[in-house]
Amino acid sequence: MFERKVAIVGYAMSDQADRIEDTREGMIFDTVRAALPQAGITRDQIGTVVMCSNDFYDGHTISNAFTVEPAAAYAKDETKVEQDGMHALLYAAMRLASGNYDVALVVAHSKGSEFEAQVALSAQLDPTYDRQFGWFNDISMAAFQARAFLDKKKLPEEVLAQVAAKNFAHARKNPKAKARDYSAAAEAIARSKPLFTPLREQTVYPVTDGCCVAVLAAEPKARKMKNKPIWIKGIGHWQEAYALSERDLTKMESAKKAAKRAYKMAGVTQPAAEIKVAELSEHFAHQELQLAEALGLCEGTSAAKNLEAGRFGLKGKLPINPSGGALSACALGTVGLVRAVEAAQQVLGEAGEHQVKGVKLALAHGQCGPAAQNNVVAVFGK
Amino acid sequence: MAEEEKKAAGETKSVKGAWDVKYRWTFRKDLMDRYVAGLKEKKLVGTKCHKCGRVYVPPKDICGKCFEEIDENWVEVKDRAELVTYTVGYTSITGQPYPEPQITGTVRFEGSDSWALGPIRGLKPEDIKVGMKLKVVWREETKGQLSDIEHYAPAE
Amino acid sequence: MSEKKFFRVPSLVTMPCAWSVGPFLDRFYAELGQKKIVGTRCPKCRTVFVPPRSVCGACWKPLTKWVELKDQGELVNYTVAHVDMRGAALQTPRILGMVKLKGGGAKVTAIYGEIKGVAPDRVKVGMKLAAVWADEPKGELTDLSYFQPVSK
Repeated sequence: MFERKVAIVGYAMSDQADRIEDTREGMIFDTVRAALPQAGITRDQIGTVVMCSNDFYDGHTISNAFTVEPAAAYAKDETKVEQDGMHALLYAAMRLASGNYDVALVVAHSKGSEFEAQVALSAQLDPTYDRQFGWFNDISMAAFQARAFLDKKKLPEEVLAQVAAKNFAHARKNPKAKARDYSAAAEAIARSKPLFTPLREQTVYPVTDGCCVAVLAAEPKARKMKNKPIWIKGIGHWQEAYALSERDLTKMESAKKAAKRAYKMAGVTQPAAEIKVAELSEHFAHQELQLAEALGLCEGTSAAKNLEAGRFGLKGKLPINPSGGALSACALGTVGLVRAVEAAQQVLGEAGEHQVKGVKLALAHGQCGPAAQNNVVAVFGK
Repeated sequence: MAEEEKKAAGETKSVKGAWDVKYRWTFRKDLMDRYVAGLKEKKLVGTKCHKCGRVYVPPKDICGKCFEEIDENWVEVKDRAELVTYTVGYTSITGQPYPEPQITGTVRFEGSDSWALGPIRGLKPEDIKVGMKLKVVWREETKGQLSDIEHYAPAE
Repeated sequence: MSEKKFFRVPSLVTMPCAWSVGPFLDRFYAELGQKKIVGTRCPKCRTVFVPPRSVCGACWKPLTKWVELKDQGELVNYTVAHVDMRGAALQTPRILGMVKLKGGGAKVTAIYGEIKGVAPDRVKVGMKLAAVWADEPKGELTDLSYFQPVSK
């Protein structure tokens, strides 16, 4: 583990909505302004600021130059990660563990209502071959992964709608989730507009506006703060090959390896029993099932069976995505940090209506890259 | 270059594509409306931080230095400025040569703490001096648009 | 606090690009112009990469052995597109497939291709397919027009 333990000691989240009626700077400013008193700190106590944003989403190069001021980073050590909120959290934790800083601010944001997400995401593909076809975007890439998984496990397409239905039901209890209509049941979701089979409009993430902030501190400072520190007990980061054709799309190999490292650090030997709640970045419905299997959260080997038996629901033995997950709200680039904050809230007992009882250890996951090429997994606890 | 020459030079096939993403950025209408209403009257207005007193023209809604919101604290500044820095351009940003060199400068209005960007005219490149006093040359018929400031020129 | 008002400024960021494909894909495209499909084989794990790669990522070995694949193979994955890349509805759904070509041994990476000549609801992983070439190939991706089921 890190030589200096690192904890989440504060947080704030804007609405995760289909459109936030504000400027990007205003959205960030309001969220950071809320995080500082929540953590019981003032701006001068922040040592380093790690932004998570993406030039292609924002529409400017070096777009974090514009967000320095609203992110309380004026004249501070400020840097940026362009992957996902969990990567930013990992990077911030490493900066604290190094001993160079005691307190870090992690700020993830994007405004899906301001750009064409699938066009921007198609730019993550190889321009000399993949992009030349003109067909591929984030969804069609994941569609291949979904097909491989469903075929291997001999699952009907309807199981995807069941994942979405569960997460939408959870989102109804999450006041921050405002990105889509959560009233649909599985039957209606299974008939929603097909995009790239087997994926449909309601089994794919909604492009969302949102900002999420986490305040991190290293010990000994972390123990002297306003809130109980929620320690990063273990964290792992892994990436697999870029080309879909070079990967086994039925497994989430990099997520599995990231989890293995996180569990080893955290001393978790039986995740299915020891993890009490998991917040996973399931950008597509099938990914929640794949992740549940890769991260060892199932009883037995079939996530679909666990789902059907109610294990992953809010009242189940291991709720997955009590917040509603990425299927309910997905401000690209913030998703993993939202999961981390949700996981921390679960341990703190501050998750409101979607609180799971008696959480000692919570898991959060973030991803980026085509069909979850790159994954970060963290275990949080008191 | 002939194909054989290209190959000998190590050049390989080129495939085309375009980066074409539509954006719709959100801006503060009320701040912009008030600023351009001032321009229509040939006036420069900005916002002043109630904490540190810094004045921003064009107006900003957040003082980054103080991490405070600036709310409805409007001030007027003179339409005179100081040249902070400049560059002489010989081609456009897409590489088209200008018939005559174009001077672009950053200027600080008297009474403001922030800078604005604009064309400097009425003098030769060799006569520019950082720190020189400039005046705003307004469009004769202002319309309440950013282009109401036509350019900056040496102050008499 | 006074009431804030907002407006949206539309903007199109457009950057035309021309990418050099590099020597390996350069040969791949040139061979397509001859109605041939080529790849490179890793000396260690024996994987044939199609389109050809210069390094085997898993084994960290430079790839120098070129292999010509057959223009027939098996469907290993697919998705039926009902929308285009930008999300606009397609008049007719199109089948996008990943095809593993014969002639490279057990481990050959799959190439992308459109699948025609079969209804979207009859597509099956494992289907035997053959490439249909453009009449006058030019060394472009479109020389390999699409794949269709091998007629029995």
